[in-house]
Amino acid sequence: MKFVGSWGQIYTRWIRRLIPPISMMVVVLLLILMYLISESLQRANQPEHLYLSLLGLSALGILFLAAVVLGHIIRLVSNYRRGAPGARLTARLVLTFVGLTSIPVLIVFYFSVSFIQRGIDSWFDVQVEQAMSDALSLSQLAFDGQMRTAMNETMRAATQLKGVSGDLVALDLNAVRRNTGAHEMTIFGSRNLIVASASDDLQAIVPSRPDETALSHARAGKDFIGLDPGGGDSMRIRVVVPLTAGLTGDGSSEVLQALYSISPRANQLSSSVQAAFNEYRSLIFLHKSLKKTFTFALTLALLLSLLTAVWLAFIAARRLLAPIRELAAGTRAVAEGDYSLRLPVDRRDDLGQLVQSFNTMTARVRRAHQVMQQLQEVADQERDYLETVIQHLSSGVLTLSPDGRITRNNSVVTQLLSITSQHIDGCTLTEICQIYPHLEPICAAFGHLLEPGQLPAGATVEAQVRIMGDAGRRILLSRVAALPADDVTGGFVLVFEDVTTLIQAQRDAAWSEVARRLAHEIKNPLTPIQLSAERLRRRLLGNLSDEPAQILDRSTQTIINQVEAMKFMVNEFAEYARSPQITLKILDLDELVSEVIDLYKGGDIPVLHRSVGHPLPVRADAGRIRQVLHNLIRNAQQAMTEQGCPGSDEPEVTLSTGLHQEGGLVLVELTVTDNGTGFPEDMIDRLFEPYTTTRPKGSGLGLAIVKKIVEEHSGMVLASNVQDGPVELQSDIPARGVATAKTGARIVIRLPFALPDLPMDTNRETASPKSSVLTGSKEDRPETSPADLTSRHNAPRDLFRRMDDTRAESDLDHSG
Amino acid sequence: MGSFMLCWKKTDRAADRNSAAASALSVFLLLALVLLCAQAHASSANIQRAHAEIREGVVYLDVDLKLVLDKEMIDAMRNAIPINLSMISVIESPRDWWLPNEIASDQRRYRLEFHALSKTWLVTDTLEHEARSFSTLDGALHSLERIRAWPVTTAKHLEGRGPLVGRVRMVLDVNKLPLPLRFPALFDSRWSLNSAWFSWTVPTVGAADRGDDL
Repeated sequence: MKFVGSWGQIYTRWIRRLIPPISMMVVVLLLILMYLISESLQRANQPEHLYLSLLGLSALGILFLAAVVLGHIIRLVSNYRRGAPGARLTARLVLTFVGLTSIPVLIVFYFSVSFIQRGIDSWFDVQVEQAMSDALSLSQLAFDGQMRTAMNETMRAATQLKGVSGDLVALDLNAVRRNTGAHEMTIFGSRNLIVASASDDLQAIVPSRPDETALSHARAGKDFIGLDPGGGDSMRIRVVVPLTAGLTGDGSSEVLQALYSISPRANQLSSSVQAAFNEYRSLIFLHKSLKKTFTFALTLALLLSLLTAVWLAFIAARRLLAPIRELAAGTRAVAEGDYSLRLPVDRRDDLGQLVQSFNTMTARVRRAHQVMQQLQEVADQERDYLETVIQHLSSGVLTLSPDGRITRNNSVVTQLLSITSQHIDGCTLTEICQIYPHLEPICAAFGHLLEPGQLPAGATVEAQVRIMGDAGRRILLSRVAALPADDVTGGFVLVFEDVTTLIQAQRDAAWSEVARRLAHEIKNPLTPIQLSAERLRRRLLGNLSDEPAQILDRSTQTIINQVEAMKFMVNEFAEYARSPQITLKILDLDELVSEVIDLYKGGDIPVLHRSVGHPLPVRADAGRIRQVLHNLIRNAQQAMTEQGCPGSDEPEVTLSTGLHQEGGLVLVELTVTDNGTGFPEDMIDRLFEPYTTTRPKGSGLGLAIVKKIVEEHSGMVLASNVQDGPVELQSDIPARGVATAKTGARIVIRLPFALPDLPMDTNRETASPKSSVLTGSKEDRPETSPADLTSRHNAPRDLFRRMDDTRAESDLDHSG
Repeated sequence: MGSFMLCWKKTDRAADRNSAAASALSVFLLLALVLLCAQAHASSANIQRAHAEIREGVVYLDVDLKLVLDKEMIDAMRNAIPINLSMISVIESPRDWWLPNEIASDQRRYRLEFHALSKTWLVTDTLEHEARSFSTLDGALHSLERIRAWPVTTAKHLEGRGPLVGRVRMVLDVNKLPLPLRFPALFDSRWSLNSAWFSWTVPTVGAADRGDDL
């Protein structure tokens, strides 16, 4: 892989750079070769190997050029398929260039080939050919006379030599040769061995031998005569005749060969005729090949032209399109979001200006993009800020998409609606109401408004919804608003605000005002009415007869009783409306409860006390707390007296004291439970309001006063019914007594746990219902060390532990 | 009817395929025939025997070969185009993993031509400048097919060379052909008169074979 990588680098760095100059050199070389081939076609006296070498070199050069062009074409096709920038334009330019060059080249080629074909054909003429043949025949005829003479002379010599014995033949042969005028005379014996030979050339060692045809002719008894071209320019007449007459060709007979020279002039003329004849014949034979050769040379030139044209077209297209390709690549980069690209401007023509404009455009787009990014960041920050604000609102916020699905919520909304946020994301309000049935009032109030077109954009609908959550009944001031339709998201926003406490406070304040006015306006005339009634009774009762006296007695008694009752009621009102100064002291609630219960000992309905056995310090006004205990015990006893006790159980009232932990805060808890019929369900949430009573003779102020006093002590009071089983809804204290109560009413009071060493605000006005004993400004308290604070915080927890231990060890203390 | 038409169409298509196959086959056969004919008319040179012996310190080689000339080639000679043939003999010492080392080489060149005036065939040994005329082409070819006592090298030159291998071949000298024939002759089987290399046994050089002993 490394090798391949390095090879790729070498190719990119060197070969790709070197190919164009090499190609140019090859083209020049090919042009030279073409010229040389053309020259060699015209010249006869050329080196033997030159032509084929030139052709081979040309073929190599053209192959190289073809490979270069093929490489360009393959790369172009690959780029074209890949959709590389500039590939289509390159292809079009190359095709245009090639078309422009190849058409004239092909036309020239066609006409050149036609011209060669016709031109070479026109060299030959039938008459010339015939004349040449005739000249050759004439030359042959010119030798006929000499040949006949030579034949006669040879036959005569053969006759002379017939009678000569073998040894003397060699001696006579030279004389016979001289007589006949032969140049050379040889006798061949059996197996073609030379028997004797005579020649006028003394330097010739080996006599010329006839070919097998001539010998076989002679041995067959026939005479042979023919022209012998010899080796050089001198032709000779060869005559072969049998020497021994009557013998068959069995190889044993002898033959005589005589060679006669031809005159030099005749030789010269015949050679000239033959040379011309040969040249013309060879031209006729070669004319087809010659046409092919010229066509081949032209084809080489055509190939060279075309390949050079294509190659130059590629080079030109590359040079021309380089800036356009860069522009296309740049545009693609910009389209993919890369604005940092800056193209080099290295030319001053129109394309250079185009590149310059592109760079300017890219720079502007980059700036605009940066601004957009900054704006986006600002928008994101604002959105995050808004998100943070929404999360920290005291109101619960829900945003819904146009199709009614929840897109966003803050943590308060889950707390207010007693739901978990993971259940509501992407749900519609109806779906949430199906999951959480206690939210049905919200759906009833707003469900139909979230339908498309029901709520116009910008419109707001407000409603007060009462739901029952984990922390009891809540009154939510709910508001739905349709977001503007041109907003990015549109949809709705739902805002919930917990107004339970506010409404309760308003209601309490109103009742206090009513009570104060009633007490003031009614109490004043009551005493004169009572005095007047007593005076009428005292003065008139003795003076009247029996009947009127009885009427007067009953009437005045009724007036006096009713006025007394009215006074009691007005006093209670006054008590409710009164805001006396309370004196807070640390006292043991457990002990106080025991004291109050002692007063009820021996009553019809027993009062039990379940104590933890440890002091429960609270910061309270003992008198007010006593009133609370009296109110609660009396209330329970009266309720059970009037309404009875369900089942066969004996009525009883139980007061439990203990500690309660809630959200890291330790509270002292007092629970008053009876085993009566309990509170009516529809009255539980209004139980502590004035004039709310289940008894016919009740004023409805007892529990209202209890609540008022408890809230003055920064405590809280809760009412509930004891349902089947020992279900401790409001208290953590497991109680054996409670376990027996099947039904009944229960009121729980929780007061802040008082730490003994905290400074006491002895003359505090009525405390805020929400204020806690541990919540006070720093200025209100003396400086305390962190260790002190830690020990103070740990004190209730230690108490808890001790309580748990005690519960495990001992039974509850039942008193009363 | 529909099925018939379908079948008919199928038959038609099948017929088309058959005809296409038939034409392809005929083209193939034609090509094969052309090639076969070309092969039948091709020229060839095959060395059938080569024997060497040392006489008087000289290595003499006798070669028998078979020459077949194509009609085109004979036609060319009848039209005054001579054929030049070279007989090449090489004696080599083989080497492992490398080309053999050439110890000695010799060449004999012949020209075969037709003499129009005398209507004879002329065989010329161009190196020895010896010419012999023949009445027939067969006679001329026969003289070329039988090479006798060709002195390829001296025995002394081969002494102490280890095992040697002799090779001999005949080639057509294309560069001596007229220009228009040179390029076609390279690829035309009618002009392929180059024989394959024929190996012959190089005789072992004995003491008596050394020329200096004589």
